[in-house]
Amino acid sequence: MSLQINLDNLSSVPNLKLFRDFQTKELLNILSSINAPKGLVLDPALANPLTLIVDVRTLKKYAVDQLFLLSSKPFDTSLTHIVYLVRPTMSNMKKIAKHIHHSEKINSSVTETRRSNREEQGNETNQKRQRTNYVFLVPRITTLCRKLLEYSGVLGSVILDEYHLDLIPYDEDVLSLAYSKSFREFLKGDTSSLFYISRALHKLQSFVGQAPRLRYYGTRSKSIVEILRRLRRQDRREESSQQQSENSSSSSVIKPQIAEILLIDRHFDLISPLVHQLSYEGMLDELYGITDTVLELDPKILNKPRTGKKERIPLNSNDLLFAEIRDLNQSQIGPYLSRKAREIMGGYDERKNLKTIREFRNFTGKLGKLQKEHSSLSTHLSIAEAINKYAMEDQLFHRLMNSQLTVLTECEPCYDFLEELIYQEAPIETVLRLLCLHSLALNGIKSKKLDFFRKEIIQTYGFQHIITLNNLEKLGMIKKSEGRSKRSYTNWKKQLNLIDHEFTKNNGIHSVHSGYAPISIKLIQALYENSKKDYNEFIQTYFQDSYGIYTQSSKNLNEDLQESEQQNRNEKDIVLVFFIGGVTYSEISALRILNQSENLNVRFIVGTTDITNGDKIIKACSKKTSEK
Amino acid sequence: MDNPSLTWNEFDRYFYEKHDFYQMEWEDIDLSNYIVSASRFGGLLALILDDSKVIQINSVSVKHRIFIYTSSGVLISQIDYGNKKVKGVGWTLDERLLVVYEDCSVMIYDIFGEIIKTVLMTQEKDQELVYRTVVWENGIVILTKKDRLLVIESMDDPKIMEYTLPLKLGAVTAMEIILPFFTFSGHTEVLISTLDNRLYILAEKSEPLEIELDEGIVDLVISPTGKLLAYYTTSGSLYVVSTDFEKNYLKFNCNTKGSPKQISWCSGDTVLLNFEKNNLLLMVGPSQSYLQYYYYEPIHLVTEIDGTRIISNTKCEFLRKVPEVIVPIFQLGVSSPAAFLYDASEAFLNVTSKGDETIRMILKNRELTLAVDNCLEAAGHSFSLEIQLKLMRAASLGKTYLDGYYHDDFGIMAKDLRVLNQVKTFDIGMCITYTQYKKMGVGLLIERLVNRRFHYIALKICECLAESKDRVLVRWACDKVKSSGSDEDILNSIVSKLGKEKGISFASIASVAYSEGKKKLAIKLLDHENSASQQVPLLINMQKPERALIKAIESGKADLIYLVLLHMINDPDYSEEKLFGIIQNKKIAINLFVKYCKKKDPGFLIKLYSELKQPTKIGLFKIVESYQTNDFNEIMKLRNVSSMAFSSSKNTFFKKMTDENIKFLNFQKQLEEKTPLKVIGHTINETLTILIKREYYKEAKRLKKMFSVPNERFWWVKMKALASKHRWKELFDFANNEKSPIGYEPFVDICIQNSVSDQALKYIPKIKEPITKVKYYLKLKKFELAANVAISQKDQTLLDDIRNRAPKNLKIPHNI
Repeated sequence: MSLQINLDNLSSVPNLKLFRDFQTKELLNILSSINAPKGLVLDPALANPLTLIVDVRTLKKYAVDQLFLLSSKPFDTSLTHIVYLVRPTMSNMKKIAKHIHHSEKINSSVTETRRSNREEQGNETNQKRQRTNYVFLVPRITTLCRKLLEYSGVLGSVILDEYHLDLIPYDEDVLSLAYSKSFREFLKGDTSSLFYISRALHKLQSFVGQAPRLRYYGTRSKSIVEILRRLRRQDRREESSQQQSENSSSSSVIKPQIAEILLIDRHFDLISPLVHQLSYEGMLDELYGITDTVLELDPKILNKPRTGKKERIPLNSNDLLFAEIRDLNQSQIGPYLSRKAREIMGGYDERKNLKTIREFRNFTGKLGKLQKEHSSLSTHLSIAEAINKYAMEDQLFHRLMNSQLTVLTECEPCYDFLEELIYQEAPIETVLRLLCLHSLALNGIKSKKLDFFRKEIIQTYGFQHIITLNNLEKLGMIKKSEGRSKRSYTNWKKQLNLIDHEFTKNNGIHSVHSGYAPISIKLIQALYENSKKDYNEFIQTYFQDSYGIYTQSSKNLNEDLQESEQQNRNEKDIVLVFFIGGVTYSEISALRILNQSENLNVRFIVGTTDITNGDKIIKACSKKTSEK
Repeated sequence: MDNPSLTWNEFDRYFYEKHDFYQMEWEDIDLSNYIVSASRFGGLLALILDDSKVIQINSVSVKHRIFIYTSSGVLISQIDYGNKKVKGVGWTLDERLLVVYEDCSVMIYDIFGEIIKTVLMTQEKDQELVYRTVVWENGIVILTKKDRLLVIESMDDPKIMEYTLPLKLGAVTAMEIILPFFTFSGHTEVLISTLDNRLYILAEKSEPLEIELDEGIVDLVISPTGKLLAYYTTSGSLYVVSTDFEKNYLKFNCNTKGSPKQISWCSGDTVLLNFEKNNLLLMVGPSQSYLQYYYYEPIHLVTEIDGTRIISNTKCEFLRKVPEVIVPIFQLGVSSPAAFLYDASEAFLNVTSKGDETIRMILKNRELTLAVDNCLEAAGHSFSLEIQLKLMRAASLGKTYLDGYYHDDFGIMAKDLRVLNQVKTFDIGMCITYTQYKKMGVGLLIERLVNRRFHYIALKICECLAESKDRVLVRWACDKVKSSGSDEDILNSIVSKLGKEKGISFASIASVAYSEGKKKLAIKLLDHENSASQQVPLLINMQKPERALIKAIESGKADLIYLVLLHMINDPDYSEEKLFGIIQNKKIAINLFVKYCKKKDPGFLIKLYSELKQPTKIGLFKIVESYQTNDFNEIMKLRNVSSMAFSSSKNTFFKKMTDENIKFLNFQKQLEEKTPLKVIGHTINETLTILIKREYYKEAKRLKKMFSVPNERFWWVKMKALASKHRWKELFDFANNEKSPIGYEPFVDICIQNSVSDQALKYIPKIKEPITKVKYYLKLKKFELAANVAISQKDQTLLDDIRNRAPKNLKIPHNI
């Protein structure tokens, strides 16, 4: 199954195919501009995202003869054109510099031996052997990287350029920057990615039209709106000067396919990602980790023979069965799949009743689809079985889920369990997730208790976690308890109805965490659902001056809008919800569930810097000991 | 006005005409004393006194000067170039003057004599002298007296190439170039003819190509299309050949004594020879035909793409092949639809009915569109205003008979003519033909006007042709900045005129102000710049880093912030104090600075933190640093710094933890000295595990006490350590010695994990919860034992459940 999402449905709104194809084409143009067989060196962080844009076969067509993953170890190749496609990070620049120094050293030693052999010939062949290095930074060249290459003395021997890959369609309704560093950057107060995000959104809008409304919640969202407005102003200025010269009324204004962009700062809801995800897709991410829509599994889980290699299973809506079950609570998966299995068997059984040739032909026509479904079914049945076994039998998991729910519903601490987790040396991510959840939901932890936990963590997991703890503190994820606050979790819980124990019956968004609905999604629901309740005052206390709506004032556009509104009155407006700092699969699932609701006259699609979960957030706050 | 065809000369199957552009405005100029260089497209003239004739004039004021005139003979400026010897002069397309001096230096001047750029073609120490040079629109070829051939192809990016010359180069008679876009190699080719009947073609990185001829070449010229070469030989013959020397087109004996002063191409394949001494201008066509013009004054020929400009002491004329579209309209005895339309239009003016009939006839023949188009185009090519008017009128009349004629063509031509006629006036003096205008483009025309400081007219032209005005306005502002006047006045004047315009680059204006030394003005101008990416680098250059930083932060572009920071870090003028002072209250800048320092210059960071009075950060940073070394003493040193830092920031918890860690490290160190164990780098839990595994119980106990490890954690650690060594008996003793603070379930679990179910069974009775006991028994398939528990609990349902799960052959009691 192809990793690229099938976006060929032309009627789908917004139309992301053009947007994706544009990015693909840019890469292929880069490759074809280098008219020689070449080696492509990929940043491991980009390898997976790129498969969503282009496949290896196409790369081969564009004379990519060898593929490497960037590591600090230089590689040897006889190819003379090397193309680096990497993120603009300092460590990547160092690795590239090392490679180039290495290849130059080899080259000069080759030259010397040649010279001693035969002066005349050596020169010519040597010239041919000289490597040409192209460094394409994704999505942009940064001053810092340029300087770093300069300081390492290789800027002169590379051709530095950029490849503007930013938003990648993870699915029909999910766009991701695949920029996993965004959360850590926020922690460090680095605002670089805000600009990337703005640029990416701006570019997207040049394909699907300028969204007439921008809504923002949280300080970083506000900054992005400000940058976006500036970019729009610049555009309009260029446009107007173009208009002057062309002396024609510009027709370049595309009718907006997205009615509104809603920007959500992850920082406003740090609780939800900490809670263990229990939607099917979320659970897979928590247990096995999904990297850029691909699940890598031990073949044993799928009842396949061990090959030493992991099975790669693409998780996207190309797989129709997966599209049906991804948002369900994990406990519903088993029953759903067995029903499905019976259906498929029934489908096969049809053949017993076939009589005429036409019936036969019809059946064989169906057979392909049946077989496809069948293979998908057996995959997911195996996975569901593994998950179910884990959920039923792992005592710790069971208790973890219970204590999470206790903290969230009753706002009562489960300190004993937390202690026990530490004593048992459970993974530090698990421990810190629960600790942070306590602190966030209970509005802080008593000073003495907190010091005890911190000491226990440091003694058990190592002194370096003093840094982790400090980082979490900086983000407000752990703190000493204070008095009551209007901005506290209890207030959210009350206002937004976050808890529903009857989630299986109600089929609501609470199912994604078995009873708890993400604050982020609940807020979105409150914003768009027709409801008698007035949330204004409540939102005001929480966000103060960092929320609002910016409406595009351009007259032309408004007219256009009204027109298009009249045309598509039956169609729901599209709202792109963009999460700055990551979104979880559960949250995406919750939004999809919301899209089924009749109380909403909008349809959500998701944009994000990256897909996150609690473990990733904790890891982002930990000191990187691996990178030395 | 008479029919224009009356002035035409029929020549070689075509018509040629000579048009007077101007009577020269200048007085007392005798061209025979000057070397003239003209800019293409009806552009400016540069006059330099001919060295060989200096003596005759004896006037000091004209020495060492270049005079710049319009084509109408209006003096624009004089450039005093000092005591050097000029070897060549040329114009760039946008009318900058390229001057090659004998000492191999090349200077580019603007038309008011300001030096824009200087390029040295050779090292000064070489003391090379220019022998011959060819200057063209953007490049230069120099042949030095030491026989080196140097080529620059672009003055914007002057890269000097040296071409290989033939080993024995005879006395050079002429030198000419073929422009890069006409050659195969894409590089300039140089042609050199020598007295010994040879012609060399020289190109980059290739050996000279040598052609032997029957007679010596005196002068040679490449045609404007680069395809043909005309040369004049010692015997007085003119040859025309293709530039690849494959084809000979013409050999013409001029029968004239002496060589021509100048050879020039005229309208394609015709050659003009200027025999000044014989007062003769000879025109030679491809089929041996020729035409003689007599001039009784010195003239200078300027090859244009569609004809030749002839500059004399008194006149500026233009000789060209009459454009084909005009010919059938005016040629006597020939009729064409356009000619009919023209006549009809004239008839209309005379109020006769003949006009209408004629037009309907053309319409019937379906030739009216063509007629209208032709009249329009002919109007463009006509020099006379009157004829232009008549032709336009004809076109206008014609199109009223046509439905759906694309009217824009008419409007565009009308505008183009307005522009052409405007710039042709005396004071501007740009005699540009329609063909030239289309070739050069509006952009270049405006550029030339702006260079001449005709801002207003340039602006009006932009408005007329709906071109972007930005460039003109910015250039106006830049010139304004250079003018004298108070900063205030200049600023006000610029802002009042440009403030409301969109897309004006105030940064480029400010940059000019800065280079003019008007720093304050520059800064004020920069405030009006909208794009931070333009603002920030300039502010850095202007040594205003703080302002640059503020603007960079406002823009939200981390890149720009880095740009400023890196500049300050690398600039020795900025001491650390100064740098810290600037970034002190700028949070984003500090964050980025920290990120940079962590990788690049950690020492700097510590200074920053202490400057900012943030000891906690120092403490934490030292901890991060400590994980990059394995040297125990170094780690201890760093820990002590951290501890001190935390105590000064009153972060008691961090201080306590750090001190505890110091104590722990010391403990580990001692342990390693006393025992063969390796423990440094391990956590307290791991150290405990090692101690227990290796049976150092006393030390383990000490460690536990020292750091008040809770009993529960100690039990877990010890249990796991013993189990991992399969010391089951010891584990059992340990579990029995005291009452377990962690219950006995973990013991059962760990035994099951290690597949020692007999051991697991030992712990189950110790478990409190009967239901848990049952669960474990069931897990271990000990159904009878499970049943016993159920019985002792008197739980019938539980018992039933157990019996159901048990194999049938087992006798589980039915009742309690």
